[in-house]
Amino acid sequence: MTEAFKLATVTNSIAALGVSISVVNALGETVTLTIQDIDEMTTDAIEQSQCPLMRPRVDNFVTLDNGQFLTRDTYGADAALKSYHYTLNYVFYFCPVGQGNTVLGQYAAMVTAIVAAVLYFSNHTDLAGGHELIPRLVNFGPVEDINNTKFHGGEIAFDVMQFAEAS
Amino acid sequence: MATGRTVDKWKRVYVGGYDFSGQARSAGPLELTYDAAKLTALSDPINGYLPNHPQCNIGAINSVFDNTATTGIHNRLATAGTKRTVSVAQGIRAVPGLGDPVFAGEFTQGEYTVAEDGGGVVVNLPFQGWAGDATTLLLANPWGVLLNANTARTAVNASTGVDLINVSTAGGGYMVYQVTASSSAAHTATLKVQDSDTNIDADFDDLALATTGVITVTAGVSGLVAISPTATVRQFVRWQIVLGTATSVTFVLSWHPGSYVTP
Repeated sequence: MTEAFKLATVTNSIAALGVSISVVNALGETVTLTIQDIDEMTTDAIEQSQCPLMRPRVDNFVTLDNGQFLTRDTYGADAALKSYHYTLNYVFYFCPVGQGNTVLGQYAAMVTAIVAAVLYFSNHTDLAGGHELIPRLVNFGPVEDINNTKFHGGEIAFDVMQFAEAS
Repeated sequence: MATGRTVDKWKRVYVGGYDFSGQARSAGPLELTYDAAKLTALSDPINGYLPNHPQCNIGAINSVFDNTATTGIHNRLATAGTKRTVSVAQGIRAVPGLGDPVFAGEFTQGEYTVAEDGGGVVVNLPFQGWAGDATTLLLANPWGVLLNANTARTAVNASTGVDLINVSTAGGGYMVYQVTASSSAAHTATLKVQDSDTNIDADFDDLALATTGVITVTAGVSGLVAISPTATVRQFVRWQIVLGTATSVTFVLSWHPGSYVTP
């Protein structure tokens, strides 16, 4: 039986959603959300012009918040039907802290943008690579890029279940 | 038609010509259980049983409470003690489609119970089993195949059908239909099942008696049509429609073979 661990398929599916997600940026403009795939991330600092931006979290990108990573669902060893369970963690960068007139001037706009994104994810859970893909809002709060620059934003997670057999 | 494993979210529930998939949280267990008659004699070294009558039941439908006019479960299924035409289609890693398994029949709704669950208001509809006043009591196989998956049809079917594979061709069967929408509440059409040996369009013929006849097609129309348990049904089956005054009919249609060949 051919098996596949479709992590890259899932991240690609999530990244592909961005062009369909409209959010209002810190300048008040309606733009689409940029979601980076695992092969699109760089060590460069995040620019204000790139925001809003969502990218995989560099540390703890894949976690096991829902328990066991691989379950054997039937009798058998390697030939058994198996399922993968994992969480993908993403960071949402809305705008640099301090953009605008006050430190918290963009906070409400950030919340609105993340809510819009999570709502879209909630209505598009049937993505290639995963058989169950449930978005989860982890937190709002300052997030940092590679240079420890703080951004208004938050963390969004996707709880994924995938059958191991290729289909 | 996909095969293999699936998850519960791909289940769809239709009752009495209404789609409750957007309200139902669970449906089941989908049961076919034979009563066991114990026929052990004194000198038998082991207990022996023979299957008696089967218990066939849709189990229970658990749903959110919804009083939306016309389509809400509270407006449609709040009266218990009633025979219902129920179809539960199981999609295989996708929305149910042609050939996917369907558990369907006429069952008696035993209760309508409203309760609280985690702060939300939910309803529980347990069914008592195959209705004693069902259209037929001659067939004991509630599992069938999906022929039309709640899709609007505006013309006759010229496509291929479903391969019944290991079904016994001399076992008859029944069809279950759920009309969920149409071009007009007063329009008419005929829904039926055709069979064939070759799965080629030109070779399909009407399966004798597997037809609704001319019916008024509007949301809320449903039913079961059975043919003789000894009738011959060829290997391939498909949906077919004859449009009367209707120009479009949206319906769910499934075929349930009377018996399967023992492998």
